[in-house]
Amino acid sequence: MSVAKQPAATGDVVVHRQWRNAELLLILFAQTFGLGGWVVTHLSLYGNLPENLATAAGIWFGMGILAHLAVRIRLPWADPLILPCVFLLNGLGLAMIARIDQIPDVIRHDAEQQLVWTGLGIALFIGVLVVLRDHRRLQRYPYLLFIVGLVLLLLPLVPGLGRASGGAQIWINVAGFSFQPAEVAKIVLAIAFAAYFYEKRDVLALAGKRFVGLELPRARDLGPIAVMWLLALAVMVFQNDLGTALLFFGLFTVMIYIATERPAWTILAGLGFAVAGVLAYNFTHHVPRRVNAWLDPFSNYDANLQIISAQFGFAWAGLFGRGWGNGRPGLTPLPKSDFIAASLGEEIGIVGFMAIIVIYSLVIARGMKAALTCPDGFGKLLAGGLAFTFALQVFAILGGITRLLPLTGLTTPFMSQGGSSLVANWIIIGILLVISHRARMPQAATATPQELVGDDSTVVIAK
Amino acid sequence: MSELIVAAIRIVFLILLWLFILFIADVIRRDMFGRRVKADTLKAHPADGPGHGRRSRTPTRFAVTQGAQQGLSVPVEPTINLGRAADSTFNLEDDYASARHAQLVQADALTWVLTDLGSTNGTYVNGRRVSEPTRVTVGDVIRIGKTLMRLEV
Repeated sequence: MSVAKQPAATGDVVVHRQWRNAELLLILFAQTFGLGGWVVTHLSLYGNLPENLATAAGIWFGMGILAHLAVRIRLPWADPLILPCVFLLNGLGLAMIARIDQIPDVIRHDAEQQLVWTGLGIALFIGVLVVLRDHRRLQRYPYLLFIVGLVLLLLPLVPGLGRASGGAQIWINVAGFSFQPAEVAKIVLAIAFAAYFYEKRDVLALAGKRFVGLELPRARDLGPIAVMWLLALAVMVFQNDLGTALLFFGLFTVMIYIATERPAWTILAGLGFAVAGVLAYNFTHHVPRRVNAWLDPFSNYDANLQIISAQFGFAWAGLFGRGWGNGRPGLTPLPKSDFIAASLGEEIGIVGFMAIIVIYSLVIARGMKAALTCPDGFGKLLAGGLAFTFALQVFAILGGITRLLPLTGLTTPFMSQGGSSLVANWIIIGILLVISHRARMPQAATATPQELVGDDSTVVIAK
Repeated sequence: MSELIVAAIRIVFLILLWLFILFIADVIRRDMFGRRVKADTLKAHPADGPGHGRRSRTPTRFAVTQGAQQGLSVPVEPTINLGRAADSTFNLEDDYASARHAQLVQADALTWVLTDLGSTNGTYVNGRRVSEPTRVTVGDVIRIGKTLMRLEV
């Protein structure tokens, strides 16, 4: 892993601007899109403004200002662009859920619950900012974090607590709310992997036998992480949660690639993915159905209704969409969760859909930028891994609904209805901002006392 | 609402959406390279401020001010071993550091003597390469590879 060039000991130092005021303005601007979508929906459906407009606007903008203040106080050097983009995506998701709430005869109130989840997500985001001053503290307990992640993954299999839905056993019921612990497990395992790979990056890249252009690491270096990874993957496959398994596979691949700088790993992972895909196609029930819906949807209109209906929605929308409240997103099954991006595409058109993709890309690019500028290797690995997983998730789900790829049961980050994914993504954004704060902070001004990380207590395997 | 207004709202919404992206792009463009300032204009550490220095010059910790481990510190000890070896007092994570790079041994309450232990890339104090044991105290900057360190009050 190449470490960024440090500024010279004397002479000039490159300092980033903080951009905090720009961030505030962009957040407020971004938030108007969600609010605007909601207001326009009401105007076009009922011809009047929503009754609780002032309250809702107050809560919504209050959340944005609160999140901004937390960043301004705790992480003054953090990346200024991630938060506005996230608020825009979250707002569009809320507005679309509120719009689909209006479709049934008895109006639903899912958007209010989603707003509560958003509030919880922002609270946890602020919590990350307050608790986690320095991301390097996460580096200390790779094995402990791995066990925590595995326990979280196994929770849905506990009788009485777990709940199966849509063919996957990935939910738990806590106090009337259902939650997917895999979303949080993903973050915990990403941290554990980054810590492990950072500790072992040299031996992984250099020690070991050479085999078709790849230095195969010694079993004692690769063994523990391979065991962790295979265990986690096995749990996900057993729970029929192939979407998360895909993300997890991508996370592992990109981290080992960043840590060792050996492109052969990506080729090896690609071959492994192809083999896994063929196996899944031959030995599971729903993978062949998904592939069929992707390549030949009209062979079975009723079974592939969802994907076909989404395509009709896109086609009917054209370039500029039907306008808020004037489409028929309710015709597609699951328009609020899996297919929320298709619902948005129907109402704001391809031009708006492209804007959403660009905004996702901006979040990803800023995450990668934090990884590139971060001075320490652990931060690079963690930010790079988190940003890549986010990218893979957006690609898989948006590719799925536009029939570029077979559909995977992943959530659309920040938009889909459902609390666990939203909350987990807000935590990820919190971690990315902490890393970007460290990355952009002027170097000479930061020597505050801190406990030494990377001490021997975390070394479990003797050399 | 008339169809004209509906169409207008639809288009304005999309224009604003892309305008938002343009604003973001503009911030990215202006943020790309940061700005250059002289290193010594940055206030290094609160401990350097007026007041602190007069009261006490006794070092209490050994801290990294720049480099991958920037911000980390250890309490001072009579002997501080620096290097990549796991048993060092301060375990350097710097590609240019040797396993046993340098050693600081306390001479009196305020000063430590820095000795280079035959490292590959050398040890620098205040920009000068160390060729013999050198006394360091609060305010002297030690450089090993890309890492800057010093004793702090």
